[in-house]
Amino acid sequence: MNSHESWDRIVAAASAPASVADPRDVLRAAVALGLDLGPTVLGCSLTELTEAGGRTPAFANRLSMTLDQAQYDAGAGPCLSAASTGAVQQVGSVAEVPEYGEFAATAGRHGVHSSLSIPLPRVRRPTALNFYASGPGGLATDRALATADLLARCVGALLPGPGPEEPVPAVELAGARRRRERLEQARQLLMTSAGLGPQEAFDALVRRSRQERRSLFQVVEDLLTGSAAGRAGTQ
Amino acid sequence: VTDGPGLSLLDGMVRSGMTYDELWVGQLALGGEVGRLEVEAYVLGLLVADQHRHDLLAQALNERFIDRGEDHLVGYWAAAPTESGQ
Repeated sequence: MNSHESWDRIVAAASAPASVADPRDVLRAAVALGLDLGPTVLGCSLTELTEAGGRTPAFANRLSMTLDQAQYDAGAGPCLSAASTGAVQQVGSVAEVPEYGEFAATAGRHGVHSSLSIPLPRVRRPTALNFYASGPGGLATDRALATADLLARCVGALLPGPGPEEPVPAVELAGARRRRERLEQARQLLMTSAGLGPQEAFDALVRRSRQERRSLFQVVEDLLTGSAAGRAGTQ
Repeated sequence: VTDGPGLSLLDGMVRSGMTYDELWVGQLALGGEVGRLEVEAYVLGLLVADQHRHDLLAQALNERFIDRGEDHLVGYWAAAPTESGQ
């Protein structure tokens, strides 16, 4: 399974977590995918805080487990900090954080010098998704951070908890549905009047929007209100 | 709509200042069926959008640029759909 296929599986599972037969298997796939975050990434794991301390329910490789355990044993480290505080812990050089000394020693022995731990939102137990890297470069780009954040939210959706919040106010969704209905009416009109297929009709509307540097929805309204200007140039 | 030049979805996202929620609603208004997390994955190039999905997301971003008096800055479908450039 390549990276795109893995993402497809994980995003689909996170979008409909109730339909996932084996969430642990998807979690394992998710932390394995974490290794693709960048060429310097050497480990990825999930840290969960329990009454007994930290535990790692999923890890990409033995190194990831070793690094997590070093933090649990020391009672300090970025994975514990992220899970307990709910704040992202991005450490460019673990050796430069005095309170992470024991973790830094273990990490250094394995060639790991930087880390990124992202707390998971809206899960029952404090949890963080961790990335361990040989250098800060692979974890510091905007795209890497955005990708790590998305993976963390996908993982969070698969864990017990209240689930993600409704992302968009109902009034905005209602407005979008109204525009969608108008667009569909315009598309049907073009399909009927000009014999276009669904994609061709959409493309015709987009083309006119581009030619006139106007909103596609303005083009739609012109077409539906029957103005001569609206019908011209859209076929 | 097959010409390619223009901003990638990711560059368009950055330049527009849109949030992913806004983009998701934008593609919904345009007839899209893509889920909230999927939108993000397509923009980041983690999933590969087909022509229809790519053009929906491009148009949703371009609607924002048009609202601001700019042109259609995000490129529509071309035969190189990966957004990450990888």
